[in-house]
Amino acid sequence: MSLPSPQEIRDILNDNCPQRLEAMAQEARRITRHNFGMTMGLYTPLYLSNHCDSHCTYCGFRNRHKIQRTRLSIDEIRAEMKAIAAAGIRNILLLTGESPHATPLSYLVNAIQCATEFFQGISLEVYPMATSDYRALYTAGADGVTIYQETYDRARYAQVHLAGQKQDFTFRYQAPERIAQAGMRQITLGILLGLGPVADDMHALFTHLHSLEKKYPGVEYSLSFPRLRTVRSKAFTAAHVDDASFVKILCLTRLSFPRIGINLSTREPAALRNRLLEICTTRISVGSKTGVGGYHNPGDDHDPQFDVADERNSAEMIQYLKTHGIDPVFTDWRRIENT
Amino acid sequence: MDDTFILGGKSFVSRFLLGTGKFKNKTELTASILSSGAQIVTVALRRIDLERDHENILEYIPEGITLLTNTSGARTAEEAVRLARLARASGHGHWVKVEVINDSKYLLPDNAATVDATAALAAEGFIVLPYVTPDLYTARQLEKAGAAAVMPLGSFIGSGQGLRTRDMIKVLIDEISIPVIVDAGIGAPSHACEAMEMGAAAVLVNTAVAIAANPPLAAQSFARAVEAGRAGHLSRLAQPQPAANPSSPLTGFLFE
Amino acid sequence: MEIYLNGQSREVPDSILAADLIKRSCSRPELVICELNGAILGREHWPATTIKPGDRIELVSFVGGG
Repeated sequence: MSLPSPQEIRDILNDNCPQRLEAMAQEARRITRHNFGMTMGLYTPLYLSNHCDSHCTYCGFRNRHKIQRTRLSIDEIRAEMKAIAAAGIRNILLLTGESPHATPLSYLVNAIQCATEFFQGISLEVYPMATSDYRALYTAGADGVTIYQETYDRARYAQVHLAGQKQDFTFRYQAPERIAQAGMRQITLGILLGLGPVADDMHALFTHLHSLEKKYPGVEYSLSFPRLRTVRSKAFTAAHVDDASFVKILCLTRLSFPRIGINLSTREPAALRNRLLEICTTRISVGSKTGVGGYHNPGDDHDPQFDVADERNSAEMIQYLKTHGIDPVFTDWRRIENT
Repeated sequence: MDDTFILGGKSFVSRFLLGTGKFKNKTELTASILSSGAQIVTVALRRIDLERDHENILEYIPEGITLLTNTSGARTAEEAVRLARLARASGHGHWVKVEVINDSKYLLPDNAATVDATAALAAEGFIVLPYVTPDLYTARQLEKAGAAAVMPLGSFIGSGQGLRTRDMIKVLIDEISIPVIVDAGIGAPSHACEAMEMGAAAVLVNTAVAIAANPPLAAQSFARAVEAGRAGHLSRLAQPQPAANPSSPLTGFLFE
Repeated sequence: MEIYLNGQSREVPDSILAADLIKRSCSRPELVICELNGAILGREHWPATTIKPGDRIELVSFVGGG
């Protein structure tokens, strides 16, 4: 099937007709239900460390930002994981800043091994690495990696990534291939909406995904569209992606890729998340803390990477889903042995 | 869930109507009515055979079944009205299927004459079920004229070709408020199921049952298909959302 | 006298009552509907109605149909 061109995407984003939007949403819902049923995957993010060697102008963890840098010890990791699992969650996303120095491979491997005690699904959103390193994560028990190109516009990319390994556009762009080669089952790609030119970024993301699907068809892909948000009200100048555009982007994604996962984080407010659940999302983060740790001792709120807009905890989210005809899925499948 | 079929002011459980023509013998007919649970059957009126005694069909139709007299043979609205009046004079009810056909090649009904006959008969208190080629304007006129239902043909009478007119039938289902009962051309249970899934209120089958090798089993299979299709249709209806914008339930909130 | 019964010309006794004509035309009169000269003749009128020469009588009953 052919992917929409940048101009076609622009036309859709510029089209203000409510009836056409509703029709697109209805079709997106129909396709999502056919392929995923009345279900929603749940996961919780755990920030292990906010140490970062890169300077991304839009990020709360950026290198030159004066925040308290912290990294969880293995005991703290265990305590955090225990708290998250106690809330019923069985899929965890482990995040770090971009610092192979502060959070090297061995640290990540230890964290994954600890996670296998509590979770069936273990994903990471960390700095890009070599295939052999991804392989080590996999054999330790991880099954997924999330990596956003942020923007596919090289000029804009260079403009906002001012230091550190993150500056290397190509190394990052090629990471999904290395992840697939390492044997990971699940890969999540994405763009930061509002960072670069939206229609062009969407087209580039779709093209990237399409080529990966062709080359690594056994991988389960997901897409994510975090919208740039303020951190503690410090605004970052970017293109504004309004709610209607956001809905269109998700719907268009569903229409273009009927069977990929579409993730939705707690960057988006509860009311909008509730609406989007009904349309085409398939996985959502719940009960999120976006500073390091934060679950074991809530209120230990170290500087967050982004402000959480949907503050419902797991129990509230699960209850919402159940009362709205959606089955919360905690475990999609179980790992036997990552070989 | 209460899914009683209300037709002509009467309640029915079965949405499967059976025609009584073309059967090899009348005992097969009785068995077919019983095996399918049909509660409404069509009959026709003919001059009696003066030379010989023939069995009367009414003796083979169980008690309590609603008789729907088909005005088959009528080639004009006047003839249809005359036949309907004769049927009522029998004392066996005042339900009539208006069928006005002046075409022996295709047996297509005369929609305009059917509207005229319907108006006249409805005014006289008949429960009128008109048989037509599906057409929105005709259906609207029938509704206005007082028809109890509309019976659009699925395909040519006796052809068993299924819902050749499905798109037009769907228009009627979507736009008309009286029951839509698909009649003619239903050749397989899957056709009957399909009609019900689309939202038809009921289905009438005659030829496919009468000429089957095993009519009672065929009748049962059609009746079950009707039930399955109806359940399929009902299961897809969304739960009512109290705060939803009815015309844009998913995205109306963006424009509020 | 000559009458027309179900479209066919028939010789029947003069002044025959409708009830008697119907009784001799079929074995189950109770299942028959009668039309006399284009108008329905209700069952209750059969014993009192005299058939006249040239009358057109239709006797119909239910048969199988779709």
